[in-house]
Amino acid sequence: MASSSRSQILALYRMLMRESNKFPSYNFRNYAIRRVKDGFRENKHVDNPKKMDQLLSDARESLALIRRQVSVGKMYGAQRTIVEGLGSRHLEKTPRTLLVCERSHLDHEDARLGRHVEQHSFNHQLSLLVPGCDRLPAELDAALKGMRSFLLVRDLPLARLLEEDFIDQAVHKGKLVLSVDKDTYEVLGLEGKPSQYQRRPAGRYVVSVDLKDKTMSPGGRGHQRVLKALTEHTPLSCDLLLSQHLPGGESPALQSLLSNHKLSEHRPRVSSRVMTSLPCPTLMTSDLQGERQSCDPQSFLEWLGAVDVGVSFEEDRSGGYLSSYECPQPQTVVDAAVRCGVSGLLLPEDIYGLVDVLRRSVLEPKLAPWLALTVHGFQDSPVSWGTAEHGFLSGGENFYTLVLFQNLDYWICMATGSHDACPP
Amino acid sequence: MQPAIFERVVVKNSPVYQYMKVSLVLEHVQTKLTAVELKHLITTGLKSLYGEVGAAFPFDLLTFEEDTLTAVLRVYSRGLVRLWSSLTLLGFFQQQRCAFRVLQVSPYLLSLTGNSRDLTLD
Repeated sequence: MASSSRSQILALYRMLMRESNKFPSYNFRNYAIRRVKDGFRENKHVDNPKKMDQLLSDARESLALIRRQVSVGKMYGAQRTIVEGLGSRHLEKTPRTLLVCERSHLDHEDARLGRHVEQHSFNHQLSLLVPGCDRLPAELDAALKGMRSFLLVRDLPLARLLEEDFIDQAVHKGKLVLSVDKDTYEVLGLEGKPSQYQRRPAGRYVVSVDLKDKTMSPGGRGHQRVLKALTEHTPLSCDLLLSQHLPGGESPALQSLLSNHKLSEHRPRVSSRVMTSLPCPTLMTSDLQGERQSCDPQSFLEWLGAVDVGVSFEEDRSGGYLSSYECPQPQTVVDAAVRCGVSGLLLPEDIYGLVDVLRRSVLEPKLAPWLALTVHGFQDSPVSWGTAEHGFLSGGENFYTLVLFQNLDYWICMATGSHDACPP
Repeated sequence: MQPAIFERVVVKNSPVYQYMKVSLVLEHVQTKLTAVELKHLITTGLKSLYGEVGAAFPFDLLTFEEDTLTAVLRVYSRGLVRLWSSLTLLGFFQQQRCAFRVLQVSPYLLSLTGNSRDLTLD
């Protein structure tokens, strides 16, 4: 089959499907779609050009016929039938979600905790819950307070990130990912893809530039093209949070590189709260699916959220009128629990360091039977879990919760929203 | 010696509940409101839009801050669209104009506690 006629056939097929979809009547619509599909499948292997021309002209006639039928059908509006699912049921749909839970042991060879932590790059908040103690161990406290500081740069032209000295000194590997609306995308003139989660025509585009690609070496073709796009028509600039992990303890290069811009250094903010007589759900390490009468991850996440949001677990005076929420059964009431929160720009390396400290602390006798660490990613971040696309929609879910047990087993629950791929 | 364990469970589209963070904007800023009054207001709105039967699903008022008039609601997933639409169309509280602003909606309560749009720096 010649390639030019192949595209013609595909176009015709698409048009036929599109037109068939417009039949107002359920029966006609389904018949037409099925007939079109079958007809094309039947003649899949035809390679005689004469026969093909014949079939194509037949198909064009059928297309005209379908169009006429559709417009006639529309004049005499048909009632939608119950199987088309437009009763009150469409009111009960919610956007898709995905919750991925993993259970393993810290020293297990398949344990992927490290990789998960590393791939969740842009975090703005973490909260740690330690039930059963009223004061954090000194080492843990120090680790939480010792999160590294980060820089806030106001009005940084994006082109600055592509200049030679910046790429040389601050970028070892990486991509520049821009999520821009349609108008900006068209003005920019850079190569990009329509966002995966938008209906066509897309209102949002994702531009991804590999900074260490060969053509991106300073002076190279690709480099000049991107630089020109970012400076010429609409010079893009934005406020940026920056942080840097240096393995060798070198002096931080970012400050000196960006010294010409409005720069301020910030420390992550630490808050801590002690709760008394808190009902805690009973967790069983081996029971990830909640089959053996212990708390399953979904209800556990709900309970953690309730603790963080500040739901009171005592019987309120309205006698259950306001809320019917209570801690999942079976539960134990602990005398005291510490909840500690850190917010700022938190690097995955720091979080991994914290996990190491947690590992040592959980082994201390008389501390809690388990610890729960929740790490929230930026909800408007254009990427999450590696470089997979992320979008906000209505909630921007982008967090994971790590539950560490005393025998060094762990659970990790990764929550994603409707504009997210499945975590690796 | 630890037993060899590695288990991965992917749960798709199973949220029983949806959580909404909403704030109420009133015409007269000084007006005070209690949690019970707020819940009653929302229930009334639901009934006026969907009728006695359509509004017959439970929802919970998990928290309510009286000074900012911000509340966190929990609702069964199948009631989300009805609750949201009735909040949108609710326009009056005791003869004064009011409006609900839906700040965030998520199937995870934890997601509402870590909203990066509220991040403030020292």
